[in-house]
Amino acid sequence: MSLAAMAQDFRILLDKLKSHDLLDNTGQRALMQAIAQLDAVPPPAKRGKHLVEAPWELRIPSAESLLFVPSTEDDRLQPDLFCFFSGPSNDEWPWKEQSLVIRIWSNDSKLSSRKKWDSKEVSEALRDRKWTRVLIRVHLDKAIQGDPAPLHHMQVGGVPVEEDRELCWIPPQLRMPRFPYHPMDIILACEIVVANFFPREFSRLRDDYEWQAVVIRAQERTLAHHSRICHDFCLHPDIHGKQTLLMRFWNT
Amino acid sequence: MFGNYTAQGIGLVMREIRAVYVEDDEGEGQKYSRLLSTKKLRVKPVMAPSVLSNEPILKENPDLVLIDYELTQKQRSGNMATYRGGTLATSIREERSSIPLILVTRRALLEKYSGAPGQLEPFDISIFKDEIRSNRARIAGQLVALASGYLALKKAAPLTWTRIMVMLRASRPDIELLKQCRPDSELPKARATGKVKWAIPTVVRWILDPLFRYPGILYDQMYAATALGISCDSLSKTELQRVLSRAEYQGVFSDLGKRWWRSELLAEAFRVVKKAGMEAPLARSFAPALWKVHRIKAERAVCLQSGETYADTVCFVLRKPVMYRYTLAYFPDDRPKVMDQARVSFKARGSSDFDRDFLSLESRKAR
Repeated sequence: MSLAAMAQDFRILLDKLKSHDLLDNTGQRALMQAIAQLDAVPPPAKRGKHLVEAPWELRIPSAESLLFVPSTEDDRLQPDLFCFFSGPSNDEWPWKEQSLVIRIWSNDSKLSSRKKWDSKEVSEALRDRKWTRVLIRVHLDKAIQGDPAPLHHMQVGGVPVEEDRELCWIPPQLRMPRFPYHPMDIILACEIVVANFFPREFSRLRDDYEWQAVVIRAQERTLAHHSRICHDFCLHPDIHGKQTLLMRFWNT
Repeated sequence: MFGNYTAQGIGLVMREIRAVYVEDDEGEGQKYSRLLSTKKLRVKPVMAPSVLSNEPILKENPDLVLIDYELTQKQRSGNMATYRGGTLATSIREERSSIPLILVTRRALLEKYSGAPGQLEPFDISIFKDEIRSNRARIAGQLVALASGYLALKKAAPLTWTRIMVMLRASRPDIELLKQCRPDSELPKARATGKVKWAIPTVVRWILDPLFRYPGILYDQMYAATALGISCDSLSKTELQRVLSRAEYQGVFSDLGKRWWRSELLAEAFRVVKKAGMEAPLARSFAPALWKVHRIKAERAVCLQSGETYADTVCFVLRKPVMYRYTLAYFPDDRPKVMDQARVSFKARGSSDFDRDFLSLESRKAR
């Protein structure tokens, strides 16, 4: 996988999201810094006959997240995402580590506050911060070794990184359920956000060749191995019933 | 692709610059010519001819022409020009487009002419007489930089997109960004044939505004320092400039002031941060990483709002670092979308330069 190509795709992503006015300024800065982190990685070095990729990390911190503007479908909702990726991968999966979180914020008191449910402290804190709160948080992670879960999984809730700022009502202690999911990257996550929260802009972007090309390249980078496994498994199922697709993806 | 160009390679000029200063007041002409003349710049006063003519000016074969706007005063010889500086500038530009034209005037008068912006159109920049008196070395330096840039572009002409990119010494990723705000083509015939070429003044105008004017593709010292979370003084340190040297803008007009390619600046800074084993955000981690890796002490940028030693944004109105969370989106100009959005600090609301109308609707409601 070429990091330079990925950085270039992030540039196009930034340009597209900017030109459709979908990114808050914080989000633009987050994406710019993500690009710079990839640019900072030295190019692959030749060792013998092989090109060896340098270790890399890509982090969008939660406090300076990739923040979108309020949804054009429902302006009470404002999505953001933050993430951590590292590489190179030592197997066929696209990266070594993956932790990507999508949060949905709201500052509409009718949505973010529930008088009967919230404690006095939470209600006061909400009032002080003009009702800004995370309504829902979705983690798209790659399990670490020994973690009993699908290798790539999705979890609603999960452990918050910024509990005090988010004030999310989902209990942080729950580690399950973790649904099997495909690997995820920033571009595909942005596509999901745009498709859900900005449907009009999404319909315009879908006709944009550059946007299509960026998403297709991200799919190839991120999903190829996963799709191959699904495809092979479904065409040649384990007829002795010893393994299901879920077990095939289970972290061992 | 463009990494190996030297100063000579992009045609930067090392010789003395010849300038003429067109005036209707002989005393003023001599005074300001003397004030502006340096080792690198020789300014010769020329009296405005009574009938519009480029001949007395162009026969000096100047690299730069300074023109006083109000030329219609009766001269000691009894002559009196029947035109203003804007008309003369247009006439010179028609005949010789590769010479920079500088408007020299007084502040109050520029305000008076602003109602007819077309008259000021041919000028590349304007300078005020009081500025020349108070800061002549800086102004002379700017004039030399402008004339050298013009000469370099003239040498590179015809200016195709590739040639312009060579002159800017832009890297591939930056070229992609530059395409998003490229100058308008004024040559419809060339456009029709598919090979667009730009006139020198068009390219100059594009480089000065929007490229140099708005932060986004390039950063000036203030924006660069703040993006790294450090003070401007710290960024001026020679040892730090050495660390970041790959990001320094060294293209045409680089003598007009230090600038940095944003993408390369951030990448260089992240290399330092990564070596130090630290992580994003850059504005927080760069200074300690710099100390850890290079033993270079950099003062942190100070937030103008809270006084904390952390700032990552520049307040558009106060031109000082501020923490992003103490800012609002501000729309004071028509900058291209590829450029960074302007931000204004809460503190700037007390400033006479602040205009509430330039806030977004949400910001106006919220604050």
